[in-house]
Amino acid sequence: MKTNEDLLRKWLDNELDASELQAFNALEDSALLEKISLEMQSFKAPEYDSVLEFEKLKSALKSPVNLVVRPNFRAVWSYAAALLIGLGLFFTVRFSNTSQTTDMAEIKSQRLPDSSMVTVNAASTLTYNTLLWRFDRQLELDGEAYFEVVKGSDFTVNTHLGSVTVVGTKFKVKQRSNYFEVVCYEGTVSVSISNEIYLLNQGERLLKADDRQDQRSSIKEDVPSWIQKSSAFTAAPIQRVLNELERQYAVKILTNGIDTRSLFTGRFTHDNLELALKSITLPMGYVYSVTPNSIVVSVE
Amino acid sequence: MPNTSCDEAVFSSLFEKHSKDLFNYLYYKYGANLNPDDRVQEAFVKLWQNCAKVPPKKAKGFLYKVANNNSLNELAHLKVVHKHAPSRAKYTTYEDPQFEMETQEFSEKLQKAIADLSGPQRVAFLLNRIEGKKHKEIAEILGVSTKTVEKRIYGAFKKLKIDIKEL
Repeated sequence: MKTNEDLLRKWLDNELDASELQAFNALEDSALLEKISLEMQSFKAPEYDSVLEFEKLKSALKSPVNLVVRPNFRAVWSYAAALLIGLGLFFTVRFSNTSQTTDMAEIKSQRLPDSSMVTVNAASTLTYNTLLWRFDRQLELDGEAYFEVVKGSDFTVNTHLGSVTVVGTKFKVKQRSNYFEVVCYEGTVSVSISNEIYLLNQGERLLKADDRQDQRSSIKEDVPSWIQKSSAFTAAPIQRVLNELERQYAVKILTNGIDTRSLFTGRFTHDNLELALKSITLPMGYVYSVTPNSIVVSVE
Repeated sequence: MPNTSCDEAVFSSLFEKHSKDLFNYLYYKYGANLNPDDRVQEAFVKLWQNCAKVPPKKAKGFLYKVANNNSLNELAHLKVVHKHAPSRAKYTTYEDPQFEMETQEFSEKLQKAIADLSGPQRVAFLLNRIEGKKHKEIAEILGVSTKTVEKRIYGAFKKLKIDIKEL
């Protein structure tokens, strides 16, 4: 006896005989199934021209497919061709270094060739080689960036104050003058500073500032605050806070009579300069005045 | 190196054999926005780069794995809704606006419901209903059992039924 499932399966494979077809049409779902099938014909995939696509593939692969080492009188040409291609590749690789530089008040997101994501904070430069990327995931950073790395081979960020290596995770690297900070948001991160190596797990932070001892601490956020359009600080010297404000708003800030090592805890928004200035000056007992070329922050 | 994937004749016959099926599979699973033609190219480039390590028999599995991984990564970052743009040929001479509107509504409901299916369900259902492939053929393409294909197709239909009635 044919169950409903059997009928359905045969209908789907177009294998019903006349009596089975009758039984199928009597099923409750058959009308809807027919209607869906009919409508779905217009969702068909576009035509795929495999001859054309193969030509595209061959030009993407360039030489090796056409290099054949046959009877010896051709051998010399093959070697010459191989050499030329080798040189061509060498120069192509050399010239495929890519640099991404952000200006003041600019935060840029970019996808790397392996689909990892990097978001670069203001006034920073990120450099890597697009051709070699798939074989060796290395890049140079001068400034601050947040990374979401796709699992794969080792992924290394080099700055002139230290290096970070990960295998698929989310982390932030910040290198400014005399300031090197790494925060791990997910996974595990290996940080190398001079001859020391540190392993950071999720929620851990490493800071090397000025000439002080390297400090480990823990953090609660899931992403850096500037990804969500504000900058947050915990007991940071006010000078650093003002430097970040300069970068986010592309303004020049001068101080008058304040101790730039005073510690600030709080945050400022990236969307409103006045509000940002108030968030910083009010808690510290400072005032600010705006001149045509700069903003002056002084004691009340 | 004859008989390995690095042989040009072998490689081009692998392309002829698998590229179109792979393209359709990616199109139905991930939609047009994920550029299935580029994903196919990438997969074959990777195969060529690894031709010494991947014998012709294992090429298909390799290609599908690479293409799926690349598509999933792209999907995670783009977070797009699958768009299978319906190309509606007018298969009726009706000019009844009411009929046109109902058909259009149904088409949109269906498109959304199809996008909401799981990847595996969608591929199996679309390969069967649109490309006319039988259970056995789909099982071969996906590298799973016929029973699994059955389950995916019925699962898809059940879900579509519910979604269409609700929307």
